[in-house]
Amino acid sequence: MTYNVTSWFNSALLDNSADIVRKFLIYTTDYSERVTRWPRVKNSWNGVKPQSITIELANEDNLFSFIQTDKTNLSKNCYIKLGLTHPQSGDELVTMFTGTMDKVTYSKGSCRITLKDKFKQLTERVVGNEDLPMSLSNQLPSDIAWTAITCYGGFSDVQSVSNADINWTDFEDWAAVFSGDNVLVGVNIKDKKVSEVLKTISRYTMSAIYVENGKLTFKRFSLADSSYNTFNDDTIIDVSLSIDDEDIINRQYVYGSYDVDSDYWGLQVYEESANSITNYGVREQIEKYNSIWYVDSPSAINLAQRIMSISGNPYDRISIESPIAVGLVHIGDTIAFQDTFFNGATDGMYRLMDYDIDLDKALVKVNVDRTQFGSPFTLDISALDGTDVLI
Amino acid sequence: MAFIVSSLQPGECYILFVDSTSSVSLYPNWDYEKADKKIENVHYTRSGRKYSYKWALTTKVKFTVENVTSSTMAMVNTWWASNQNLLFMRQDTTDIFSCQLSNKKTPIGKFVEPYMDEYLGTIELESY
Repeated sequence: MTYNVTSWFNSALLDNSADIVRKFLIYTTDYSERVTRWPRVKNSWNGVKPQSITIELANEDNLFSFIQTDKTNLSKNCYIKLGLTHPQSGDELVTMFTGTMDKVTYSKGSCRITLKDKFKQLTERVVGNEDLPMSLSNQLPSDIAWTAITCYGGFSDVQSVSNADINWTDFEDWAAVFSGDNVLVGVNIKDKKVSEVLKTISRYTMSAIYVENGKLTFKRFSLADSSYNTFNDDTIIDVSLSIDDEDIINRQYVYGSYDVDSDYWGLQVYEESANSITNYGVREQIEKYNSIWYVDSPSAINLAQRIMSISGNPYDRISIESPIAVGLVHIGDTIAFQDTFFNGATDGMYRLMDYDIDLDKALVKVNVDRTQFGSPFTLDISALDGTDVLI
Repeated sequence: MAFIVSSLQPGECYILFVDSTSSVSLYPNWDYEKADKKIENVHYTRSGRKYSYKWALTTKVKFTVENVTSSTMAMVNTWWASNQNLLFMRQDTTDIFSCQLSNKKTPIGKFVEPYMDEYLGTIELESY
C-alpha cells in the first residue's frame, strides 16, 4: 500500500525544504491547535491487535466536555494527519492514523484521548459458539479470514477496491498465494474473538495482518519491492543490531487433518535443516491447533518449508532511528541500509517489519530484517556492458 | 503630603486593546524587546546533516513602562488577571498582534518616585 502523495511531497520531505504540519481531527473538526503532545504511531507486521495512540489536548476552557455530554462521540472517527505546506497549493496531508475514541481522561486543564484503530471492532466480536461453531472444510485460509471478518466481525464484504474496511487489492494478492499453492484448511471455531482467529491464521500461514491507512491489510511477503527507502549516514541518527538465539528453529512439525469428533490428528509432517541442527543442535517447534488445521500433507508441508527457509539460522535484527525525512514508511517496504560499521547483507537490502513514528519529535524508528526477504530482480545495466547503455 | 504629578509620556505610542471601547496607550522604554520563539525539533544525523522541523512560531514582546496612570494600570492588571485575549499594535500602523499578558506577577504596580498616582511595571505579551 502506498500513500497518495505528489512527487513534490516526497522530495520536499527528504530535503526538509517545506513547512511541516500536523493535524488532529475529531470527525471533521480540526483541533490541531489544542494538541499539547502528539502521539506515536506504531505498527507491526505480526502484532495482529488494535494499535492505540494517546493524544493530549489543552482543555482549560473545558472545550472537550462535549464528549462527556454526548458519549456517542466516542464512536466518531478521529484522524491524525501529517503533511507539508506547498508554497502555492497549500497543505498536502496523509492520514497517519484513523481510529475511534477508546478512552477519554479529563485531568486538571488537560484532556487525554486514547484512540484505537479499526482492529478494535474485531476484538469485540465472537466467531461461533458451542451450539453453532464456524465449521468448514477444504477452504483457503484467506476464505476463512474473509468469513471471520465480514460475517462475524462486521467488516464490509464488498469485493472491490471500494471496500471501506479491507484493503481489497492486498487481500486478493494474499488469497492468490494460497489458491496458487492449493493450500487448504479446515476449521472448527467456537467462542473465539475474530482477532484471535486472525492471530491464529497469521501464525499458521506466516502472514502479516495489520491496519494501515484505515484498512485491514493482509500480506504474505515474497519478493521485495524493487523501489526502496535508503537509510545511510545522512539519515541515520542511531542504529543498533541484535541477534537472538531464540529465533532458531531447525525442525518444524505441522499437524493436520484433524477430526473434531474423535479429537484425532490424521497427519503430521515436518521439515528440518540438517546444517542448522549440526551447528546449533535440535530446535523443534510444533504448529498444532484444533480450531484451524491443514487438511492434507502438501498444505501442511507448505508452512513447514516456509518456516525452515527462514529460521534455520539466527538473523540480524536492525533497529534504525531517523528523522521523519526518510519518508512515510509502510510494513513490508524494501529498505536499503547503508552502513560501514555493521557487516550487513551484501546487497544492503532489508524488509521493514515494524515502525514507530514519533509525531511529537518528528522521529521514525524502524525494525528491519531479511527473514522474509526475496531480492527483487534489478537489471544492472553497468554490469552488462559497462557503459550504462543497454545494447 | 503633597503630590507631584507628571505628564511625561516619552517614546512611541503602542495600543493594547480588546476593542475600540476598551484600550490603553503604552509608551515602552528602550528595553522594548521582541523575542519570538520557534517550536521545533532539530535532529542531527551521523554525518552531521541537520533536519529541523518547525511546527509553530510564538511571538513574545517584553518592555517596561513608566508614568502609567492609575486607570491604565487598573485596566492592564484586570486583563492580566482574567487572561483576556488582547490585540497589540504600534500607533499609526496596521500590524496587529493577537496576544495575552503573560506576566507571572501583576504587570503594573510600583509607584514612580516621587509621584503617588503614577506607576511603573513590565508588560509581557505572548501570542495565543
